[in-house]
Amino acid sequence: MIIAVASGKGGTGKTTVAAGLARVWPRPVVAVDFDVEAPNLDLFLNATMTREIQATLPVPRIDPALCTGCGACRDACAFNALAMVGPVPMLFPELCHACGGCLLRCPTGALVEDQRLLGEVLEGRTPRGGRVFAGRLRIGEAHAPPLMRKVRVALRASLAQEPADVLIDAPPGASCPALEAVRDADLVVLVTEPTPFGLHDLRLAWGAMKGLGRRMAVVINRAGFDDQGVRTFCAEAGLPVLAALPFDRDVAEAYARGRTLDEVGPEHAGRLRALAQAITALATPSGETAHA
Amino acid sequence: MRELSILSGKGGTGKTSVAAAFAALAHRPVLVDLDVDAANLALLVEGEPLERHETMGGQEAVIDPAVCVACGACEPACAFRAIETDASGLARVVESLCEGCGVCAHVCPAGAVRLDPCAIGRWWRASTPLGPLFHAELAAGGENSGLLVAEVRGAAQAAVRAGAGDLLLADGPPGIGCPALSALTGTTLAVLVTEPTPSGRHDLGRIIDLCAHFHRPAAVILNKADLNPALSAEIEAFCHERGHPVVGRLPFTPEAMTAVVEGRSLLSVTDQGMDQAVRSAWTAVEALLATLPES
Repeated sequence: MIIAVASGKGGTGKTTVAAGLARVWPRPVVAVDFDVEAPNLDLFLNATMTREIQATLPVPRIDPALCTGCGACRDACAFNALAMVGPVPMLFPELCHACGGCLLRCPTGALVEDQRLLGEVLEGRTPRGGRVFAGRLRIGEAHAPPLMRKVRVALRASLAQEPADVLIDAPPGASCPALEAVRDADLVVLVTEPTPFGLHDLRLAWGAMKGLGRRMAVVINRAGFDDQGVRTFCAEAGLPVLAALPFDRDVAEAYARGRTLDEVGPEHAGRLRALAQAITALATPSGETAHA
Repeated sequence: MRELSILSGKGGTGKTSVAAAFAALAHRPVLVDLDVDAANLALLVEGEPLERHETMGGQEAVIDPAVCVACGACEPACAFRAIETDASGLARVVESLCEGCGVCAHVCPAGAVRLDPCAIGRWWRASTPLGPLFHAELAAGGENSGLLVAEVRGAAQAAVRAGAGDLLLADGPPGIGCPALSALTGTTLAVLVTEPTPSGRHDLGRIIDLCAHFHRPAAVILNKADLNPALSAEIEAFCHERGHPVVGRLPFTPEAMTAVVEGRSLLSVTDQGMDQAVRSAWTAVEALLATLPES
């Protein structure tokens, strides 16, 4: 079972919810931080990241001895990453999406695969032995999804060895990194807050993600303010509200000290366990039963 | 032209609240919301939309099921795993994952793939009591957010050059990827809003590294500074070491969230001295801006 914790607006509490759920999850679980631009999940799970592997993206390199200057590669590139400078093509690596289209089209084999550093894939464990995966985007690299796909490869290898549920901490927003993070999820849990910002961005994230055909549900964080707007939207969109997590200074201070929600007090831990139950029930395909 | 860009690395640290308050204090600002994934500035600074523009760009693949021969060539050729095949082998493009490279069209032996131009999103110019506001919304599918950032930012810069204001004030996106890069390059000053939490501290380091990578001056505002005084002190020491002034220290108060709920600025929040703290941060930012060369 794959659960993705996502949100439109940043800072609504994705990491709080994901880290809390990982700590109370009733079955073996792997925590995955897909917010490769700003990875924080390991900080709250006190994970020690023991493996760090450089991830690269195949980009073209031009062999001037073989290039005839025909321009087929430039014409093939939908991202304007190749330009003809006089008789030879020149690559702008930051614009390259690594689709491989230019390599397919070069008639003389003058394009060979080179590598661009995306960042690092990180693997580690919590003090209790739970597996944690994360990615750390290189400073200056524009594209997060290719690194996320590398993290997923490492995750799948680990799951093949030792199966477990997967809890994903997704990046904020409604564009490609957020969509890449939730694409395989059995359930997307959208964390929002009862503010006009929270509601506006929940609507955008839901609108962007519904095309993926994933099941979605909502958690209202920082509850206590009037949340009628969020609840009305969820009812209209058919999104079940699985929990409302209250807002107070104790919760904010605990987060500021790197503590997880279950450590704030037994009532918070109880709410998280109930949320974990609701999530597993909703994400289990009918016909299968969730084992407790 | 001078441009102030409010960024953070971590989301939800208070960029938009700070931007809206600064908009009320700045002299003749032009406002732009560069968080095109989740643009919220217009919710705090309401105005009348004057113009709407559609931004087209790139393309996306569409497979005609009547022409598809179910050969399976396109699925493995797609670097973005954006093609799915059904039980009978017919291929379908998952629109939101397609990056429009056209490789599927190239490998298709039947000519079943069409490349359609696609909408990146739309942007508006609005008139608000605080000045002109430019804001955008990404089309569902979410591709090319960096391009939409560049477009709406360019329109706002052109307005400043045409005399619509004295300062471009930009509310930026979270993160350090393509929208953040698009928002940061060439700006006069980045103001980085952070909070004394392990994630705020960590992501501040990432965005400071990004500013250094692009040689952009940056100042820091510590929001919710009293939530963890020890970590706040550590962050201040880190900023000092990296040569970035801490120009503001804002208190934690639930009243700040109430203000957002009611559509009010932080300048209306007196609890814990929030209003005074914001004013003093702005004074420091304004003084710093005056020392920097125009971009």
